[in-house]
Amino acid sequence: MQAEFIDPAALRVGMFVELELGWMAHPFPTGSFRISSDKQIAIIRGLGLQRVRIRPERGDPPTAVDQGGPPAQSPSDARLSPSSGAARAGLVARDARLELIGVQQRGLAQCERRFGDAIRLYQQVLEQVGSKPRSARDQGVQLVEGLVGELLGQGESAIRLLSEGMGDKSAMHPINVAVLSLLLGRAMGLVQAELADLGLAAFFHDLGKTQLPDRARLLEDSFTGAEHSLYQEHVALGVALGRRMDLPPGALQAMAQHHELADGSGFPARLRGAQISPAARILALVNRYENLCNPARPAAALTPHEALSLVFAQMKSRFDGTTLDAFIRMMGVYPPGSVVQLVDERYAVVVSVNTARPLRPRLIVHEPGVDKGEALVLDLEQAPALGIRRSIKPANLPRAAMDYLSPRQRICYFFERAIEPGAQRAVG
Amino acid sequence: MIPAAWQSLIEGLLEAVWLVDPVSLRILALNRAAGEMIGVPCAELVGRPVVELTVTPEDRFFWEDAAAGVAEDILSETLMRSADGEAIAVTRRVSRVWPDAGRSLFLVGLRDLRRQRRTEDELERLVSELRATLQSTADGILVCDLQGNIRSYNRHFAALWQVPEDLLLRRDDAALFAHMAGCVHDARSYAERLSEIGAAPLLQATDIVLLGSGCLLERVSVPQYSRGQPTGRVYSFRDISLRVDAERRLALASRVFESSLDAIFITDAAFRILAVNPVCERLTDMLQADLVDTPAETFFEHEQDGGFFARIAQALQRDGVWQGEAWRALAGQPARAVQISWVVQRDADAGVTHTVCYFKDLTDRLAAQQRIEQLAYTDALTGLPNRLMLQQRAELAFSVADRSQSRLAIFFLDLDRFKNINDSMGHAFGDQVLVHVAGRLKLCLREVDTLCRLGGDEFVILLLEADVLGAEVVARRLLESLSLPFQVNGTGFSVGCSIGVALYPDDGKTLDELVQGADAAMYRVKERGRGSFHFYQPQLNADLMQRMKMDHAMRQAMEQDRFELHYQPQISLATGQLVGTEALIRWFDAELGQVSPALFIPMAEETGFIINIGNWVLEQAVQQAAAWQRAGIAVPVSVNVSALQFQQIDFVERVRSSLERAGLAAALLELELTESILLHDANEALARLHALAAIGVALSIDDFGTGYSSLGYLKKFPISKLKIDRSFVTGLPTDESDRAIVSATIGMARALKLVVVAEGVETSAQRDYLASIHCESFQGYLCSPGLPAPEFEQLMARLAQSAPD
Repeated sequence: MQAEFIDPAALRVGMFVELELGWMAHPFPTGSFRISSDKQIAIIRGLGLQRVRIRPERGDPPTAVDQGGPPAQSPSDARLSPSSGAARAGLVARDARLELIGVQQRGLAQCERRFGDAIRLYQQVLEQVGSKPRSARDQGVQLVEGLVGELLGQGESAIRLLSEGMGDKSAMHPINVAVLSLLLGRAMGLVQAELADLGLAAFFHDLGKTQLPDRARLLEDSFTGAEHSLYQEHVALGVALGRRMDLPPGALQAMAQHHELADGSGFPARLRGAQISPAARILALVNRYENLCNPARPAAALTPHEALSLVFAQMKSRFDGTTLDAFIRMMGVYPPGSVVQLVDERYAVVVSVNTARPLRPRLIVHEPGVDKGEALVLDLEQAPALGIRRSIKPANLPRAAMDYLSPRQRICYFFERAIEPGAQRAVG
Repeated sequence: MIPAAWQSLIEGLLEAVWLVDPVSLRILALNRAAGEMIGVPCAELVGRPVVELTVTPEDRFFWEDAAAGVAEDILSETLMRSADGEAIAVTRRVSRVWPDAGRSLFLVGLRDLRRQRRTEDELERLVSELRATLQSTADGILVCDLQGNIRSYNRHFAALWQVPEDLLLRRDDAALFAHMAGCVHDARSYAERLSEIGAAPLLQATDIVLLGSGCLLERVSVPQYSRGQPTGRVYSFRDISLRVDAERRLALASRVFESSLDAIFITDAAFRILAVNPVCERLTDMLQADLVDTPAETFFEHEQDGGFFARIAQALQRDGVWQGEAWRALAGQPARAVQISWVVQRDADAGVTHTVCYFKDLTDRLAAQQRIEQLAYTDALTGLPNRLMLQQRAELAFSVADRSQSRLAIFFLDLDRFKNINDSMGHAFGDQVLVHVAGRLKLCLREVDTLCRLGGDEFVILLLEADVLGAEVVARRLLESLSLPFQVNGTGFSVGCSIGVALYPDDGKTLDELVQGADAAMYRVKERGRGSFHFYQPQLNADLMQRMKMDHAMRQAMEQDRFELHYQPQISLATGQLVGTEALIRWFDAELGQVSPALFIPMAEETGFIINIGNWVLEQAVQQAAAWQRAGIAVPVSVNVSALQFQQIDFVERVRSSLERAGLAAALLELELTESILLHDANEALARLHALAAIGVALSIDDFGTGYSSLGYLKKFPISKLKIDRSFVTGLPTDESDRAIVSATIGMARALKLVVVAEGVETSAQRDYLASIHCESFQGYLCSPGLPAPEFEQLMARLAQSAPD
């Protein structure tokens, strides 16, 4: 994640830039690219940006002119340096910590904007599916390209954002599934074209449900045989719509198979193992995971950690082993954004995964008495005596801990906010 | 130590325990609890690699770390998997122990969390339901503690008061209260009223708050109780200004008027008075009837200012509000100084719909003060005590009765057919009648008894020291007194009433119980023809109450047009084409939700209301079929006819006239009859069936096979169709006896030249089977549930499209 910011006036051909704009707000195919002409520089300068993010390691080597000032220290440099000045084991040095928190905040804010854009665009696309299927397809493709090009550069932030919104983001299910599917697809080495198919399939996997009566859209235990088969129809209906949109064959296949399971217990064709396309395997897993985290009834929501555990404990045979392994490596045992309680009872939020030691991620710890701006960043790998005791839903955090750990503002008085333990007793 | 010794050490522990070899990471020993937890005998587990017993990534990674020597202990919540595949939530602790100096072990302890989780889940479910309910109510809700600190509010509250975003994001009670005070139109009286409410923790109050924006909020403030102790206060707010429907708003506003301390009148956009409240009547010493339809222009006057009203109108047009002082002239009295606050109500398009003028008498603030108390305890129309005062008096009376071992009686009195008076003579007249009735009732009672008006035409009487005999004497006296003719505004008429009586302490210990009991007894009088009284009988149990409520709701639903017909297609098994449709009744009640016909139809049959329902269904279905016929779609519509309806003398005539009125071809109407029509008088039924057949309507037997009628009748009846009951279709094609019954029915039908329709077909297997035995058509979810007419039309269009040429 080496990145620095420069004034637009300092742009040179050969630099690799990342434009912090929605993909509709600039004329380039993607927001991240190597500058190949002065014309591009002129266009970028014309966008009215105060500063431009560049990635020195991906651009051409700097010329003598560019080496004017010292490069800003990047967070990964900070992460590499041992916590020499820290008073307690595991604490990250103050400067590095502030830098890390700052970068994370910016990443989150950026991701949140992207999510907002994506949701708006997605809704526009949905409105056109019936009337202008081709144009809806084109916009869908553009949406996926945007995600691939920009959001995936912020994988950890994207996961963190999804994990934090756990339980109240069911309305954004297709977006959430698309982001996680693309991240997982990339981690599994899918090529560009496959990723594009996967992204489209993820966006449109539940399109068929728009043609079902309301009562059959959400799977319920009380369904009769007829209601079950009606529910399952959504796959075929979705594929039919996808055909009208002229979606690529790979995307149609993944849509058709997104409820197929590795052990043959899925529907509609009861395919097994290798009969299911790699994209559909990813989609099936992510779709299930997302539904566990964001069910129709928020009270039934699982934390990301619980959802992962449950998938492994109860449904392991239904999903492809390689896909499962890649998923857990990517998400970690406690995905970024997970709210956890430590064995010493303190509350913390996971900020990054340690892929070598998944049980020992980095955390921001709620320490009453320490200012929020000075929050402790704890690297569990450096603190063997500490450990994570359990994951909890953000809504169940005590109010003080929530205000401290949550990077973004939350509503203070509303009923659905966490109830303080004292208040809860009074109610009971 | 040897493994056997460890075994005896851990065997008795309640926790599940495994001992794991630190090198091979295989299970050395485990206790009985460990085996029971996952439902596998211990003997099968000893010697197995520990990772085979774990299922979560977390455990897998830990044992990888342990094998690599970088981790020795972990304490966290995880999942196990039982032999039958269930996920078991546990707390799992792994630690490294050194039983001998030279040898170490991993000790794994597991505690089952399932029971705890269930409790937590249940609690969470309850809390989240509660939160969702509060968020989803139509009212804005604000909850404060006893000190007045804000505990929480819902989104609707924030929207009504337009709470700015920054106030939502920080807890600052003072700022929020200041924001609210800044929103209201009259900050001083708002603050005064709030402090009044704050000073009386048990007070229930309904007020109207006028916002500077012109919004009119109704504020209901109720103490919050927890285990009988007041713990805070709940304010609910409702926007009563935004209702576009002027009629409904006026009706609502009339509730406002009664409790308002201010005089209020409402005008239309042209400043003609539409309505005034009782305070306004009193203050002007004129009746509503005299004020309504007069121009507001001359309502107030101002010394030495001819263009006074013009300026008001200008300000209203420009600012939407005008405030100031003026004089109100009074006949034969000196004019009174009044303080005025006049606001404009606009609709969504910003056009003026109404203006509302609030004013109060500046000369007589003391009178208003008294009015507060009077309003709190009395009924505005009759001046009788209201429920609040009744409650107080009843509690006193109960304690007196307890001490003196005496009884007392609660009467629930409801005027008979009062609605007719209201409907035919108008509400103002109805109100006058209520005042007269109240006076008459009072004359029958002693000074110590309490007569209270609950609302509408319902009165409750608290009769002290009364036993069964005493109560009966009084009840007869009341009935007799009311039966004498009344004279109101020169019109003579009479009202009857029905009385229910409950006795304390026999029939209940609280006022609520007694009023409920008396109400139930009164209801029974109504059922048996009104104009009498009845004592509460405990067998009027909860069930009956429930059913009476349902019956009442059903009759109301009919009046308010809450029933709807849905249409379920009947599909030919041979061609897949639509051959007809069955009209199905649907009832959505605001309180009961979607009420299943299976629930209310049997009840309607019991009470006879089924006749009204049946007639309505017939009328609606015929009109719908006629509409389709005019549109060129000849789809036969079948209608269920209950036995009771069928037995009505005018049934045949009703069918004929309904067809004629709608201009529907008789062949497009099919009547579905049950076998039970024969139970009453088979000959009479047969005659009626022939009369119907002569008109040309089609007749079918519904739910065939569930009744007990003689098959011999079948051949005599002019019917054309049998409908096989869904209970026989469900088991198809696997259930042997269902198969036998269905194919026998179809065989018999063919012999009698009857067509067969199968009901409740849900699967294609059922459909295919029915087709294979030459059943003619089917209906059921497989094709479609009952649909509202517009959706059914779309379905017809789709079916027609898919038709083979």
